[in-house]
Amino acid sequence: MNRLLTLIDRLSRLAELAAVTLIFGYCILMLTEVVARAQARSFSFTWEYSQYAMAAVFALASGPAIRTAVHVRISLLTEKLPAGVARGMDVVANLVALIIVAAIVNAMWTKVSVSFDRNILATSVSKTPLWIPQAIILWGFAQLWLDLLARSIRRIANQQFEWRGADKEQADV
Amino acid sequence: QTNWDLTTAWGANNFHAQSAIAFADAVRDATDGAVDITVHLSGETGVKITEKLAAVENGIVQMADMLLFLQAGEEPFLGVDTLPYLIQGQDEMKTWLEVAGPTYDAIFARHNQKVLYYVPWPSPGVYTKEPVVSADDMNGLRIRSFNATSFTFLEKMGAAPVELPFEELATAVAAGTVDGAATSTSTGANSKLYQFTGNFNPLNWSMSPDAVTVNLDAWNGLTDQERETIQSLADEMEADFWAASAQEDASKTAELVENGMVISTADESLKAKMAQAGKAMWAAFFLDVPEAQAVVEAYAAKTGK
Amino acid sequence: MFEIAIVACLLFVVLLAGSVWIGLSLFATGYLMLSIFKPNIPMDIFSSGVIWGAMIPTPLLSLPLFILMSEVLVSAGLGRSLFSGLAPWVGRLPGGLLHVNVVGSTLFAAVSGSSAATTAIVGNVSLPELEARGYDRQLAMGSLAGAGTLGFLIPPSIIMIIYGVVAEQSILELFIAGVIPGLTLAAFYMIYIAVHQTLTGTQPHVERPTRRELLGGLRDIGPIAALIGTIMGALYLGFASVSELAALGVLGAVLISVAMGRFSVGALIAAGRRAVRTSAMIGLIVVGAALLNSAFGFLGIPKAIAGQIASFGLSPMALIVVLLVFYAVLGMFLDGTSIIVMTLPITLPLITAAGFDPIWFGIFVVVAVEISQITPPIGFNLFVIQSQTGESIGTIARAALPFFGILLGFAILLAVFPDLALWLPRTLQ
Ligand code: NA
Ligand code: NA
Repeated sequence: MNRLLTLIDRLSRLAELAAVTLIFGYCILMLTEVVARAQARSFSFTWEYSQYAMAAVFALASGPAIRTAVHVRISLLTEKLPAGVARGMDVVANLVALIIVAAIVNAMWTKVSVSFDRNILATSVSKTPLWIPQAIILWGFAQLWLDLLARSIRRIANQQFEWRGADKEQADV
Repeated sequence: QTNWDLTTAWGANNFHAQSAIAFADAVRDATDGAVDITVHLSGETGVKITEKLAAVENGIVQMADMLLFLQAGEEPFLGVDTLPYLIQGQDEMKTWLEVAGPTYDAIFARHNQKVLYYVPWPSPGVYTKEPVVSADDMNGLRIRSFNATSFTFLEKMGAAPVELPFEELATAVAAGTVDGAATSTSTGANSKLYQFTGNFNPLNWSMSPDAVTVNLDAWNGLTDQERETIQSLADEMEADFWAASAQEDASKTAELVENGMVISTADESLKAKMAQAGKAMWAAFFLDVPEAQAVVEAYAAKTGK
Repeated sequence: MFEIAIVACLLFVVLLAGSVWIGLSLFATGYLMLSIFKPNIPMDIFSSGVIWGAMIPTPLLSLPLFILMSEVLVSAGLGRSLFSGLAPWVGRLPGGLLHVNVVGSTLFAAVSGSSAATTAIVGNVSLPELEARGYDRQLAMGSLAGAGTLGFLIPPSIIMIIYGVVAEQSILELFIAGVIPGLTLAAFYMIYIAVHQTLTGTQPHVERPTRRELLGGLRDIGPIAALIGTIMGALYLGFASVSELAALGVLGAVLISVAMGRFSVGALIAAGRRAVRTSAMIGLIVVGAALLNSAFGFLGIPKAIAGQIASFGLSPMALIVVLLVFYAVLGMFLDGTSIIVMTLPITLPLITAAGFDPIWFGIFVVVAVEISQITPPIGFNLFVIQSQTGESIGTIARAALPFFGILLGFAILLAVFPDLALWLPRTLQ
């Protein structure tokens, strides 16, 4: 069990690293476009690839955001309940979330397979095969499901299950 | 009682959307409410503008008003109308649809739907500070393009095409982020491009149609009489919708002129350059979509292109 | 229609109260509504299209980058510099450094097109500093939630762009029309803060600054002022489009931290990690909201209600009040863009028939959308502040309540004096 949890942790870091690379990547891409346009050149793919990168950032960092308690939820009830009941409710919420994210993963799986089977292309100059950016989103939501799974297991086993305020210390230079 | 959803990519003021609403109303009247089509405007249903073909095929909606070339990711042939110098004006559009009709029908049948009617958009032109009259007038101008083909075409015309989201069109022209924009009279007038550019150059290098299609399962679920009623309404009203498109172009051109824009006319050198660039792009398109060649050549023979 | 709305509300409330994450609650509600009331729709295919479409819209592009910019600024300690720089200048005024929330939001609103981004940028910098200096935490969070909404009212503004596209109005005119209302609203916020701090006496005491401290303050404010000035210049001189400003902002923030000798690759990556997580939080809600919006759209709920309002035949002023309530209630479930897209085809003809100017209505709708940003359960400014402070949505919403009141009052003021919005565009014509 612990080996599974460690594996999910590592995969989560990997997804986060990919997201960080992509956010800086599309930032640089947009800067390049600004400079190029000033010299009457423009890349037909800047906006398109930036859009894909943004979507990938949203998806890939979603799991890490569960892990660090960044995703928002309403804790009106749980705050007022005794700790044991609150924990039970959190576990239930977590299991419900697993079902919902499974629906999202299933939907994205359908999307990627259809785009791949039919070779659906972007209606752009670059004619990108859409299954590629869509597969990255599928990866991200699959990671979110895994992170939720790890969270459920740890919550049930009464282990430390999330990492609040992660990285805060590095911010205070 | 049959309830259908029709998704259009356009907003309430757009003539395509208004045509779709008029059609839905006519169908409701003619069938005494037995076939009730709800028109969902832009953004209401979450059906993406590039996924209308698939949405009808999958039964998400029973009908859609779709801009054909935006479905080209799924069916590359549907991008053919964007080729420059191919379809110029409504008369040529009629000929084009006669020639290419069977090909379109086969494509839509493959996606479990049929076309009820087509409606063309007004042709695009270029909004610039200086008039674009002869072959070299677009050299080095940063002009916002509106789709993949217009990007390539503007590049071939010597301009420096720029991609920008549609939402940023007006602000970018105003701030001088681009030197001009390629778009229709409709979009130009609605975005008040006349506030920042003095010249509209209606180069008419292409004309693109919307198609309104219906899912075949839904269609076959109707009674024979309902099908006949709807089909004849579509055939009848199509001409009105085309007239609405022409009227849109005329009234928006008038609006541009009223607001001080100068409407330019291309000279022979510019026309020759456009034809040359267009033909080169036809050849490139045939490499990607071989089945387009026979259709385009048959059409070209008929129109003398 | 009625039962559909009830079922949706119940389901949504149960999921939210059960502390299921908000984005996922939205998604599940939309999914189940469509499964029940539109059984012909193949939900896996349809929802995949909605998810994909919701994650790639260009108007969202700048949001993650603005969040990244603020994280880089905070890593470089620029937040602290800004505050120590401003302290000698405004520390002794009634309200003190709390005004930084409003002034900072006004300034960053002038470069960012969204409220969530404005809230994120300013909050990242100001909340920890205000707390360290002993300011009232409730008022700090509330004024940030309120002032953050200026992101939509002060140009550039994504909501005005959406309104302009849907209503076919000049986006530039809308931008200009937003300036005076934006500044007026900022002034109201500052007056409230000053009065609150004077009456409660909770404002921390600050010594009278020396000349030297005042001058030193300017030097500390300098880098951020230069950054904002450069970004604004890039927009108005036509170097960068609205969406690209954020990328320039990130570059500027990195350059400043290098110039101040506070740059490290580790800190930059850490800033990136925090930025992607906050972006993902917003992204998940955007995805969920998109599916719920589709369900509402397919079932025609906003249209039906707006049509109902149209049938009342109200007087112009009553119409405005009813629309304000309508938008505030819709804002509890939908995000600003969807509200505009789904209701405008009905409300705009209604409002122009009642004699209102479409540009004026654009500003009015922006204020209505701003209200929706700070009302629970779906209020993006509240979410941003929750992710920054870890406080509960309820606490933050309570803190924002006075600012909700100010916004509501301001909307009425705008209806009584339409020239607040219309004077400037008319004069510049
Ligand atoms: Na703004
Ligand atoms: Na709200």
